[in-house]
Amino acid sequence: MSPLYASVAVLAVLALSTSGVTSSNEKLHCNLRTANISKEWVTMVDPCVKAMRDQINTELTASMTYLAMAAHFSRDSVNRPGFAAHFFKSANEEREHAIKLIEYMLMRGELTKDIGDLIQNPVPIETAWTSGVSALKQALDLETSVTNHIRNIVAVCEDPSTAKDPKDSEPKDGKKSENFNDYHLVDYLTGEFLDEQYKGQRELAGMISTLDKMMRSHGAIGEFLYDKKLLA
Amino acid sequence: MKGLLGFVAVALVVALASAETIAESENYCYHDISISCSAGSEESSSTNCNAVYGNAGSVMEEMSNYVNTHITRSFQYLLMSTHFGSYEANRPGFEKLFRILSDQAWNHAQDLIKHMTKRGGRMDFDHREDDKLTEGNVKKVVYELRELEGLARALDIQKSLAKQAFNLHKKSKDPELNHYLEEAFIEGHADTIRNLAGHTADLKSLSKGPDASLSVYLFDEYLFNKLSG
Repeated sequence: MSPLYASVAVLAVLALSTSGVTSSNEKLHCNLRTANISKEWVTMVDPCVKAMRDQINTELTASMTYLAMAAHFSRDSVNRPGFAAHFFKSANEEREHAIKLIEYMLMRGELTKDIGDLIQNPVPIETAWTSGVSALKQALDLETSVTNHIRNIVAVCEDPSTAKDPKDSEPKDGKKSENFNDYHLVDYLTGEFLDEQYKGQRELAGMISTLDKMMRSHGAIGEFLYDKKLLA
Repeated sequence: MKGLLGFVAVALVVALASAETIAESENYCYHDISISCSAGSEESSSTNCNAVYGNAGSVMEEMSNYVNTHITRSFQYLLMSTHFGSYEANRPGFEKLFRILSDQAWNHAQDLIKHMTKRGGRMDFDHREDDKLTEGNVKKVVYELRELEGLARALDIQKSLAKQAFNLHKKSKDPELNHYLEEAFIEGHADTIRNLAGHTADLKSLSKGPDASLSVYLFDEYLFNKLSG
């Protein structure tokens, strides 16, 4: 359907643009008509929306911290290309998580306003690490805290009246927040996000375990070898 | 007499050359290593054993700033994409265009970091100049844009990124770094800017009717198909 559709579209565009050339004195009309759509179908409640919006920043802060780790291990004096590659990958994954959360909210009819507040200048938590194992340990802490945040969102979206800040559970825009159990979002976060979190945490814990055992007596060669393993 | 003068001249040249060799050897990694090896010291001041050469080091601050600008722009494009992805705006073509620009800025930031560290530099995440792109003195950037405004904003952003690359190129005077900037950034900028300018010209001429809803719809379809291909 797409080639036929595209050619029809191009034809129509051509027809319109020729008519546009003949009437080039006409003013620009940038404001388009807005559609009249019922809001009934937009059912996410405020405390839940707020928790999801916060999570986007949490994911991006993690992403920036991983990016700083990648930059650190790329340095000529540090020279751990395996660690750097691992953390570049993690930085991309966290950014993808933030985008997935945005896409979910768009699907549910959210994010039609206050877009500018969505991303609040995320910066790395730290920018230098003493060793590969110390960075991996911080990565595990970071993932653990992300997991806890997601669990909190699940709790709030399942039962919005449990929102810690009482102001959050007050309905704005007349949206009733109490007792709206957001089954679909909870299932999505549990199935997609928590699943990945727990598997990622296990992987990090395993890496730390292997590396940390070697560090005490064979620090230099242990980290060197493990870096090459990460590169493979 | 003439012979004596010549001898003195030769002796002078030799003396100067050997003095230079001594001074220069202090810039060698080998020099650092042989000192610390013979002294048997634990950790030497191996200040020359690094990847630094040429003039790239003189623009590392600007490079850090360039990385940070790319990160900021990447997030801004992501928000523009988000706006056009909402059910109210519902322009999948624009959503996709800005998402691609966001991904590109993000990947460029990583690529720059890799190149900085290749040249013995260090990425400084704190070094960032003020965002000069926001209109006038408005502190807060608005993302609820109309379609044509979105294209205009993107065109401005891409031009400012191109200009920053030119300034870096001018200042660095390092052939390797400049070659990298040309190949990885400057060439691509020309294409992106030309594409965006073309889109802006098209959409402008299409928006001159009393109601541009149909034109913008068709243009968005065209964008989506083009970017999906």
